Amino acid sequence: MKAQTPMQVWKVPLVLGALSLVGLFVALVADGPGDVASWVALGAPTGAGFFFALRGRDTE
Amino acid sequence: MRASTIKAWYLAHKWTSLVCTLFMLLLCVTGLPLIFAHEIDHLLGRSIEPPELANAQGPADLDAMLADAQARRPQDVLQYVVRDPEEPEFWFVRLGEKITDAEPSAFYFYDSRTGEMLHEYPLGEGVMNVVLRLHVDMFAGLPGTLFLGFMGLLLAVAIVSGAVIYAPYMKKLRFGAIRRGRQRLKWLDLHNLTGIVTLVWLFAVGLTGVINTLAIPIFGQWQTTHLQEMAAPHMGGEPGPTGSAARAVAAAYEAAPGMELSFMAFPGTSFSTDRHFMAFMQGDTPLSRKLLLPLLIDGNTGKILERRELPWYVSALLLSQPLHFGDYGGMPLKVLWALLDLLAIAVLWSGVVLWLKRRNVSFESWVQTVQGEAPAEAPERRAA
Repeated sequence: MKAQTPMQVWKVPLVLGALSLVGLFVALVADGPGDVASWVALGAPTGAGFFFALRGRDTE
Repeated sequence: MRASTIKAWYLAHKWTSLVCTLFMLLLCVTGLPLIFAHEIDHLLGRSIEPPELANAQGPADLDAMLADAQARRPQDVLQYVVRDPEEPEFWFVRLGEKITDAEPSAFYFYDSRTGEMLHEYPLGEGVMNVVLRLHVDMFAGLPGTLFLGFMGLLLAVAIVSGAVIYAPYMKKLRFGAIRRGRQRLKWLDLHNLTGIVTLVWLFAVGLTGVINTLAIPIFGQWQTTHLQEMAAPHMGGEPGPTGSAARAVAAAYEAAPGMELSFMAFPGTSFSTDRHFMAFMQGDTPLSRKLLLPLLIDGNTGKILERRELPWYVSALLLSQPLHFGDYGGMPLKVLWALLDLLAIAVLWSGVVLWLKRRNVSFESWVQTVQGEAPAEAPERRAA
């Protein structure tokens, strides 16, 4: 694989980080839909972590 | 980024991590059951559900419940009455051996509708108590707590420096790539993946944990400034009888419409004066529910003597608690907290493995290995 620019490397982490922030705060300021939004938003980095860590394929 | 800059960040990451990792592992492992402390308490019978009553009753007289609690432990003193807006069927009554004791001697559950004593919470015993103490102070009191807070600060540095060196390491790798074929690279890739997905969450939980370790100094600051100033105009003469807790609670509800009592301190505790009650009221919106409004109350007249918003640093502490505990968005949020905690354990563990596996490799050859450049395979083959 060709060397990536820092922006290319950071694209996915930035999206997951922003979702984490939204997830952490939205449940703090709103109940009901706010809670659901926080589950979805925090679910993204959690899901990504488990998906890539546990999938069996070697990604050389 | 220049190689020397990367190396400096790498060293910052390595050394801050090395110092704090074992403690962070302890905190993540003990924190896991603590996320579900409420549920586990109910499961083990340490807490109870309020009984269903056939017909609506009450509310019962709070002063009668308090007299009952006092009679059960005549040698102790009433310290606090506590409410939980999610379980309004209870009044919780806390006693201490001395009025200023930080540790309670008893914690009773009363039925707010019938006034009946329903349950005594088992204090200072059981596995969960050990888990909690390990998490909070490692059985070392305030110094233990502050030490863990310092470890939390090192974690913050490790997270920031780890994020800085993420990009150079990932230069030739897609997000989430794990090179499973090679032992050390597999652990590095796992470390990078779990580290980057938990970055924001772990930073938030770590920093709010650090703020929580400062709870005692933070409340101490409030006590010597705001509390003193609230009390000062009302401290003339000798303290007499302190009056009725029920009257004070009623006055507090009347003075703060739309708010709920969180807890009320009896006269003589470190959250009140020697002659007044202090009621701490909470709001009813998701955010204001976490904050408290203190009301200084004369229990003889039911008069609100002072109401004064908490200073920003106490509010910061109160808001940092849910963000640390993960208890503010229902059971799904607790489950996510637990899963993220497991990923954090994976970050810490893979970091330990990496350190054990590559202690004897120079930084330069290691970076080359990682980025897939040619000369790098040699040291790894040798090690293997």
